[in-house]
Amino acid sequence: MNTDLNSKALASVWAPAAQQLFFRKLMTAFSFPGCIETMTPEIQNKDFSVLRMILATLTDGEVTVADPHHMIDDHDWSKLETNRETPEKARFIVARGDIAPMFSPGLGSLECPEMGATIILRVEHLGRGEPLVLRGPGIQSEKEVDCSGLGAAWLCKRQEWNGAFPLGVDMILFDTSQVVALPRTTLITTKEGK
Amino acid sequence: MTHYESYPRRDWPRLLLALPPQKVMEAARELTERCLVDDQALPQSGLALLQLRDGALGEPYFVGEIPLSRAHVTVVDDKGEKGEGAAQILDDRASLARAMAILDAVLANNLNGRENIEILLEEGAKRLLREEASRSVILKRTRVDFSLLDATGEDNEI
Amino acid sequence: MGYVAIKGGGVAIKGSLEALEALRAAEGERGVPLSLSAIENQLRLLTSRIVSEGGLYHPRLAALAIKQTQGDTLEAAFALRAYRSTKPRLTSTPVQETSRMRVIRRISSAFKDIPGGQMLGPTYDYALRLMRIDLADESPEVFRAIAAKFMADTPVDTLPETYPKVVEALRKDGLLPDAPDHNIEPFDITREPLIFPIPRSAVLSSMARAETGSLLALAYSNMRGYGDVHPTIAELRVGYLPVLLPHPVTGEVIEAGEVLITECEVVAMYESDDNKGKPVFTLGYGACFGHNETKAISMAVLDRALQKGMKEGPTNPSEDPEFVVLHVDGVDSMGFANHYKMPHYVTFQSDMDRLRTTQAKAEQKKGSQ
Repeated sequence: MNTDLNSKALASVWAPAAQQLFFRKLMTAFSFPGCIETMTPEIQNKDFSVLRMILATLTDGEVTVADPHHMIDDHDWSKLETNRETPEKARFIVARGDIAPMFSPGLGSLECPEMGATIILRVEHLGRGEPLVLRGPGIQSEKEVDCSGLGAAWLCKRQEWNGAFPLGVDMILFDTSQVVALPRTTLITTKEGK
Repeated sequence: MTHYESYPRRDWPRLLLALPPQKVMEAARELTERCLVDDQALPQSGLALLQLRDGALGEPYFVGEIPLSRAHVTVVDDKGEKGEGAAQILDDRASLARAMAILDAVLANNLNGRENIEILLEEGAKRLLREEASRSVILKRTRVDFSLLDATGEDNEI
Repeated sequence: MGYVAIKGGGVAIKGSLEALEALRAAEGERGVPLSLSAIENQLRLLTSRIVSEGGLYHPRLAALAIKQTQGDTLEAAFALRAYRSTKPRLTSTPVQETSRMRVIRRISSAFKDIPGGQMLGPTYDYALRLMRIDLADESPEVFRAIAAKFMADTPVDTLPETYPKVVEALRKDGLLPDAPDHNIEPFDITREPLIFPIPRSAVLSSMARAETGSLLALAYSNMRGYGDVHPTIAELRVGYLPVLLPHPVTGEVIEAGEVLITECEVVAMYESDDNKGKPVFTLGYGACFGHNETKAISMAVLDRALQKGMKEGPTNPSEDPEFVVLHVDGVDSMGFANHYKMPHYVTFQSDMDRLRTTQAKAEQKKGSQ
């Protein structure tokens, strides 16, 4: 069997062209917080996962990644060529939205606020579930995004972490085929007004 | 037929790099026709900082960057035998590193098809010998014989 | 006003690039395009210079840079630096020992008898500076036979490829201070900005890719007496350094390739060390990619001068790290010098306006007196 670099199995998340397409989607997601971006169907195959796509696009040898909930498999670690780190120090943290966060992520500093962590959070469904009301840069006045599988503890902690802007964390929520970005500038309230 | 034990694994990249790259690529291509090759890491082509230690105070520093390509594969031959191989070379072609990683896997793990690689190593060794010989000639032809100077000096003494 | 001029320039810019190409190919029917191999081999030292100033060991690309920039060394080094900025950083190598260099030239002007002996190698040091008219109309057949002939007339016995460092022998004899293996993390000038005071590793890295003429001028100022480094060369070696990296699977050391390097140590005035121990010689060091002896010697002289300057305060420009390091980079300096050619119309318009206003005020003042 001939497996060369151009075969479909590798052309999925690891192909630069695919990563460029996805990078644009993430840019759009961050520019318009709350807008749900859907993964391009062309690159979906049995090896495809949104998490793998996010990590392949955003991480490399220059950054650090924490995986406290063991969501990244070994085969992916060697392909990502990134550096493992604890959640307290990592630039990127992969976590499950249904498990309350047991760590304090890096929030950056006044000189380098961009060093605050980006949390890549798995939720059950984007577009279904509890409504989140979003306000802030990139949002006309208010935007509502439904989300299931995101524990209340996350929203609480996020408020705490992002309390001293520009310090804080940014988040990317993902389900099986979509992503939503929540930069630290976005104010989130639930429908009950909390 | 020389066995691959003639050349330690640490010399294989050097020997293979002495050959025209098309030969290495062709050998790897032939192997991939009858073997299964799986990339353990994405073949990379990039740069590495070259670190030296200065001769004056012994402090490490970076003298500049070198092109570096690397690849890491597992190969399963047509008999079902499996082996891991890798290559890191001072070259900007990831495809060449991948080809060498495949050859490294086959040779190191005694997989089917290694004979052709052993032939390539021999050829590489011959080319390297020629290159070493040409450098050696430069050294020999330009070696300063101070004893001759001393002899002349004595003749000139008043 | 200024913006109309800029919009109109697009056509002229396109034309200028075409004009460059037309001049490059001016030989027309009689022309033969330069092959990269011809540049790399027949203009070996020029290629070495670009490899060194580009900061990337890629002789083939350096040859291409020379070809496309029609021999402008500053532009060629710029092109190579631009290329390297498009490649990802994979790693940094472990420390490579230059004693493993496969030398083609190895001399000492301080010491006659060095372990392994002295080999002049390929050098113009003793060549007569006469025009070789025979090269003006060189026959291809004669040219092609030269290398083989050189190889043929030689005795059989082989000399070793590698030689111990002269400075190591001096250390063993107690003439040089010990150089313990430091484990300080070296400074990466490709990633971090230079904020003075900078560590010596940043100085060595900066000089390694510095423009040769700039380094030479500053080193020469020191040699001529604006400083007091009286250097004698402990060792100058040119050769191929094997690059050893761990095998990604087994971890054992493998040779990934080799790099042509020039390395020089100069011995300078002796001084007592800080602890009032016995006086020893001090050393300056210079090393760079490619075969660049003038550069390596200049680097070594400047290294010694800067060591003194960093310790005791500079007494002349060549001892001042900020003066030296900030003015020797070819891309920085040529870039700034050449940027003056870029349109400054709006800036200059405001200068003219200011001048007219000042002149008018001066006139008024005169008038009212």
